[in-house]
Amino acid sequence: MSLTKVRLHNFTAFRDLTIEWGPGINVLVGENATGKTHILKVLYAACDITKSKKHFAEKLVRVFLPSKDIVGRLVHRQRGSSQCRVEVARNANDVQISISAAFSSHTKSHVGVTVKGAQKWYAHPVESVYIPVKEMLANAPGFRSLYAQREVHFEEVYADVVDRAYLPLLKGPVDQERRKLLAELQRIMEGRIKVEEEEFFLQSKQGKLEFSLVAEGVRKLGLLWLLIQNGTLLKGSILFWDEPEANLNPRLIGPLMEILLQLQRMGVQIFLATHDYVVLKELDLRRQENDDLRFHALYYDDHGNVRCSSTDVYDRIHPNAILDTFGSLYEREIERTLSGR
Amino acid sequence: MPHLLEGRLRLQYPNDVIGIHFDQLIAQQEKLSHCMKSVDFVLQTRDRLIFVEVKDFDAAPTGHVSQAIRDFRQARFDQDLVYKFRDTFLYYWANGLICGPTGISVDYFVLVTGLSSIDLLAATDRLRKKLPLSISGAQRQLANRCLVLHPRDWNHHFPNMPVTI
Repeated sequence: MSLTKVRLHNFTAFRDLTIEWGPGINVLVGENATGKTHILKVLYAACDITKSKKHFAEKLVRVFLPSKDIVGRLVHRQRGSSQCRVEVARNANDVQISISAAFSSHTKSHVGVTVKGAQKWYAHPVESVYIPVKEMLANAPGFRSLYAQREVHFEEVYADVVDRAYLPLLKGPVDQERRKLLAELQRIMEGRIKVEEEEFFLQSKQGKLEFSLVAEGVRKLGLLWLLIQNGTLLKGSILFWDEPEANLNPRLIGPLMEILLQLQRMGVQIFLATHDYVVLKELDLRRQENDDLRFHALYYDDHGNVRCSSTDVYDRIHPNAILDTFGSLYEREIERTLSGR
Repeated sequence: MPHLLEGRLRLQYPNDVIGIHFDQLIAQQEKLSHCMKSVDFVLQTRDRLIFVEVKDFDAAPTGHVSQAIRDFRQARFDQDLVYKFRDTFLYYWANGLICGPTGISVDYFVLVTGLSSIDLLAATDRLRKKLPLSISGAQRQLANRCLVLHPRDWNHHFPNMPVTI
């Protein structure tokens, strides 16, 4: 059920970009404004509609929130009218299927969008979850009802992730692999998550702590714990995580990457966008021979177009903005030390 | 131009600099290797002592490279680098070269191959902390300059003392 390709033509930051995905962990790196989050959102929108049955363009609008919900505002900005096309492909029972949405900069709503491949696409539902940079579970009870009843200007990824966190447990016993991951997360968080009257708590030796009093990094680990526990992340599901390093102590990143590698071994396809060296290096150091790990470096070419260079090998990530920054720090450290400043 | 050799690494220096293969001096002449650690080279200029330690991971036999690099990244070499500095410092202190606040200043450079700039930067920070560079209230620094760097970067900043591999 894994995603295999995205093609973006005149969409947001992209003039023409095609990326082929690996079935395991895909890591997007690149400087700010190279469109890492946009790519995650397009992919997530395409996955989510297989369950929610929403119109592809409508979901794109809900996750990108263009002004006044005008879908045409997602078209790459340039002089005059232009056409945009978004295409996502995946493997469904060993058959390649794809969905595409085409619209112009003048298109107002999803009604004017041409969608192709929807029927086959909806016929193969896939479980997916998008973890945004900002943690939402601490505000979940109020936020959920507010989002359901009012027009609040929040990207739908926030409401969706809260909904996923509230999902009840799957029927049947928790399998051995998931039990191990849950135990590992509990060890890192020094507790487990409890949900009472829509409120999240961290239950530890010290007692029951409401989420608003728990460190944001730990709350994110708590969210992952919930998603594994309630069966959202099972074989064939897809996880999108924007900046998993946000608010997380670097010491916790290693164990977290180990859990993501383990999820990948269980058959979960994972997409990460990161600015963090520790995330990259931990994945590289902890990967095993059969792990599927692919790095996608986004960058601007000389004409101002976003390009992507993909590799399976950490040392071949190029350009690597994260590594370049460290290189610059190293050079400046030598310069400062030897110039006697 | 005189030179010092450590494995495949060759460090050349001008005639007005005194170059000593210090660990050989400690082991063969002083016969103190049973109780003292030592850096590979010491370069003595008019106003400073430059301690140089070499970690040429690229030269390690196949199969040993990755383990050595992993050990270095995990700070397993740090304590050894610290003792090498301290014992070499002690030797020169005992010889009267670095006594008192006006004594000759000391630099410590570790030349490393096979590591990324991130590793070198992190190793520099760790080493400075562990030496330590200075002691609060002391009249002088233990080391004025301390860096873990690639020979390429050494050559950029010390063109009169080039390193070749």
